[in-house]
Amino acid sequence: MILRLFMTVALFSTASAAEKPLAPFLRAYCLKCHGEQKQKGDRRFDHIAGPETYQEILDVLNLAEMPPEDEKQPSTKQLKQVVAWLTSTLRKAREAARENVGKVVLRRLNRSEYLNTTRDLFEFKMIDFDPTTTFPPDDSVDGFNNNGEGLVTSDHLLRNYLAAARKIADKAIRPGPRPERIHYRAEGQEISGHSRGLRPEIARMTIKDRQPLGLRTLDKRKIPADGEYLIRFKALAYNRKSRYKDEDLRYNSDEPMRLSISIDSRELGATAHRIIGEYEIPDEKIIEIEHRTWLDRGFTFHLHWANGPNGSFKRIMRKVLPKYTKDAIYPLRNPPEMYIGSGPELHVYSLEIEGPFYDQWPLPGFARYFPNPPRRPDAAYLDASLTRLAQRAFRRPVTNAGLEPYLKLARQHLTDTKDFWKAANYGVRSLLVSPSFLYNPESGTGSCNPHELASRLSYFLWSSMPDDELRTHADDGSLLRPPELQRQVTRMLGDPKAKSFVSNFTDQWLGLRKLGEMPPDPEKNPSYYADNLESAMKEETRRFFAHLLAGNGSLLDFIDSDYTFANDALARHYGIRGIDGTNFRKISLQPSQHRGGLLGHGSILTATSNGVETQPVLRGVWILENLLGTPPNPPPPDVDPIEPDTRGVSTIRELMEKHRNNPTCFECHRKMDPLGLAMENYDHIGAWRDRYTKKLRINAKGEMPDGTVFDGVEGIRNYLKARPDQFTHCLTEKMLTYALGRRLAFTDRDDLAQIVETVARQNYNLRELVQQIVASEVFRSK
Amino acid sequence: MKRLLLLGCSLLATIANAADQRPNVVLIIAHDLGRDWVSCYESDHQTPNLDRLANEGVRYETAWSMLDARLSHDALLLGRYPSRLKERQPSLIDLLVKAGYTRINYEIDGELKLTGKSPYLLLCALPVGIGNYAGQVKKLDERAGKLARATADENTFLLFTSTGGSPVPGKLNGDEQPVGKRAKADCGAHVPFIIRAPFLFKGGRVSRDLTDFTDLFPTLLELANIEKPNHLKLDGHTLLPSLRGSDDPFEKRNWVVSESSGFRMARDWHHILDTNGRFHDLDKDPLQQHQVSVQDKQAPHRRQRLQMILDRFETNAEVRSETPTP
Repeated sequence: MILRLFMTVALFSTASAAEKPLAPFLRAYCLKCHGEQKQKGDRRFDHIAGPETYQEILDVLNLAEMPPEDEKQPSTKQLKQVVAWLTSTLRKAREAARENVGKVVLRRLNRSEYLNTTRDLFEFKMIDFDPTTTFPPDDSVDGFNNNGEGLVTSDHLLRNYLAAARKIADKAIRPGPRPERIHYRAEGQEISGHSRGLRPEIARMTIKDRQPLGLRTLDKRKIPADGEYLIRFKALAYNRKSRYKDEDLRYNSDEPMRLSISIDSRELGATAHRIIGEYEIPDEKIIEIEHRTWLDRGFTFHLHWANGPNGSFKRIMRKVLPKYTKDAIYPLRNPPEMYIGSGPELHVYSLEIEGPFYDQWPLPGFARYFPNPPRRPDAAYLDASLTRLAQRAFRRPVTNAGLEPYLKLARQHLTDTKDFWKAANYGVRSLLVSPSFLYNPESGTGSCNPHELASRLSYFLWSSMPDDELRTHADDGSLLRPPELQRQVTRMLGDPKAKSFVSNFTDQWLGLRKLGEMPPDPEKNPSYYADNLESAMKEETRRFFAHLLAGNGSLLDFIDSDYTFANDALARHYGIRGIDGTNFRKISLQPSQHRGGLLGHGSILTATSNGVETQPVLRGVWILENLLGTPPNPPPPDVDPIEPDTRGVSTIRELMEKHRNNPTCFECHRKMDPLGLAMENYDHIGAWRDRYTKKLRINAKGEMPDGTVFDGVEGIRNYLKARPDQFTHCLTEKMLTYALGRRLAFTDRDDLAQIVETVARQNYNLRELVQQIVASEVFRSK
Repeated sequence: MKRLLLLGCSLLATIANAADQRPNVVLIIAHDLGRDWVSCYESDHQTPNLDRLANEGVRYETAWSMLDARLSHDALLLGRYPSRLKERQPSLIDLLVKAGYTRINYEIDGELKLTGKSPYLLLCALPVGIGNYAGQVKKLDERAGKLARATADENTFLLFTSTGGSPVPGKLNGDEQPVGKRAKADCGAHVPFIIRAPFLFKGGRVSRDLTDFTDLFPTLLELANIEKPNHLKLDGHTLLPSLRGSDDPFEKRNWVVSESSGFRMARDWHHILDTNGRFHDLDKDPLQQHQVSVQDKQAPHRRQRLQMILDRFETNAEVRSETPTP
């Protein structure tokens, strides 16, 4: 607010000194619709509130969006004059503002950053460990959930931080000898969960009983300590092709049987169930399988028949069995001896688990902070250890004075309890709930110091804390040197942790987190679920982004490309032949397949539909917002959305014509409707279609407010291709917002423009965009 | 002409070869010996020879004879439940002999002479003599052992069973048993049943598959390669899949029946139901002394299924004997 007031004053003082061409211009061309009488699009220019409005006027003039075609047009000379005046005035105001006003936003770690940071701090395997499940979800601001404005702190969250710190400390502090190994083994019917069988040496999963198999001892005692375990079992696929018809069992006898291993915890509930491996089991031949995996304390594991018969066993017992034997009665309680062995079955002969195994003990995440603990660790060792931890956890150099309160707490606890490891646990907890851990190290204004820069960089590219190398370059200050900074960006993008950037940024930029909010009807879209298309679609878009990020090409490929990434199911969905196997790969595309660029991605097409039909308005808004960077204004509060009154209307286009008759709607809808309607060839889950019904062809023609006419999605692609800088500007704006973790201010415009210009010169390389963002003044200062 | 002759010769040779490969058949049928006197069935009375035989073959846990010796013979050798024997039909022995089997007789205590003629059929009834029952069973065990040893070659099918329950109660798993002979209960028909056939399977197995006396007929027809005459009706099911250790229940029986005049009972692996409406869970109540618990949710359905089996028989069908006791 102070910033805004200041800006207004600055602007008007600057303006009063100069010649003012704006006021007459506004009077002549704008105030008719945006003045005292009318406030189209909720805009009113007879009384201007702040510099953001000036920026907005400049933008629409630059894009020739305003005044509308059918209104009086300014001359080129007038236009140039006003634009030049606005541009220079805004630049001066920005410069003035930058010198005087900082815009640092205090930013805490969001949930995924918190999780990644604890992972890297203690070198945890986070597979089944998530202390943040009860955290409240982080709010998004401008589409991103790492924005400091949205990352508020509440009493509820603080309590959660306390609980999480306890869990983390309990897990991290593991002194003492290597945990003892367990070895549980069961043979045949000692294995739990099997169907009552006739042969004691076999635990079976049958047409009736397909309950997961497990080890009774383990189910009772659970995994005793985090570590690497070995799961071993012997299994055989029995009677894969049997007398039963596949449709009776709802089963595919052509596939080899598959057995999957799940990790689960009854206490943590259904969410703590995860498949960690799947194996093909050969027909009528015993196979022995060993699976090595990391398991967390308190968990257990089970075996499942991944592709066994489907549906209720009651149906099979009541409807199917009597079809095949006259000796069965209709109710389901026939003696099991009558049907066990008659159909396909998965037989398990033995099941065992052994572990934990460790490459190193004590664990590296513990030994790093508590190296070689003396036999009787004392307060001095406690201080030293906690200081070692704080140096890393706080992501900045710590002083003895700054740390003293934490150390004092821990020492006091040591005096009270006389238990060193309890005190250490207490100390670790106090560090983990410290603001220095929870908030990013930025204070004051001006250029970032090397530690602040390191932190910005690693939360941008890794959503996690800086690693040792980055920290070293921060400690000696070399990170401030542009070549070193560039080298670090290259290194970090090559690290597996950069996956966080790919998924967090792509998902939020493109709104992919909406996927699954309005899922398609399972009855009408069976393959969407059977082939797990939702995650395949997400994967496609992420891979596409990752591919470009690896330095492989121009970010204009987002607009159109002759390749994409798919597995067999997704290719099938897209109507592309000849792709086998569930692994994702790069595939080349023909124009006739209509899949180039983001606009052909099922993820986006599905996320902008409601699960039943397409929503052209949403798709139009999506393009304006995420590709063109010109989000329409939200609908005015006094206008109800058009009820889908389908009387006398046969297509969505006709329904949307209604916008045309209402000028209030038309103002904005003339921008989004044509874009959305041009994409009507993609249905609600992104499959291509030429007609709605047999008789009803799709009309995908559209005309933009600037007079561009196009037909179908190709038209949109060409429209975007003709505006590479506008798209680049949009993407840069999004990425910069994500990188900075704050809303962009109009003072950031110059840097933004400069980044876009440089990237355009570099063939629009996406990797270069990341480099330029990091190198920019705005990223390197607070 | 010469060619024809050659053809004829080779044909003959094939037939002879096929005949040579058919297994010998030895049926040892004890009279009135229940499981409660055979130690491999958990009796405390020792029958070392039968135990050895069980070790060489498959021992069936659940095999049912008919409810008296005469009817048991009928079922075994005619392959039908006695109540279903409406007209005369050839016996198993007739068919085997007709197919070229040599019948060998065996005298109790006499020398066993196995002539060179193969395949042979040896049918041997071993009654339990009069006197001390335990002593007689011991003698029977010795005789059976002697027979088993004498016929112990690779290509011989040997069945040891009994026509019904014991007249003198023995013990099973240490528990006193009721008199089995002519008892209208499981113990009246639940007999020892051991098959040794080295050419089919390795020995030492215990089978929980169900079988009753009608199953021998189709089994031997299949083993002796005899096509079933069209008019011949059989009630049983071949035991070969069971003997070979098949896991497929559809190739095996899921119920068995035993009869005496005006009475019939059926059982599966766990439950028994008879025409007098007595229904019991044999796992929990082998001596059939208690009502099935009303809380047992499965039992009514099991009963319903056994009733369905019993309903397939004519009620009050006359039961008469067709063959003379061998």
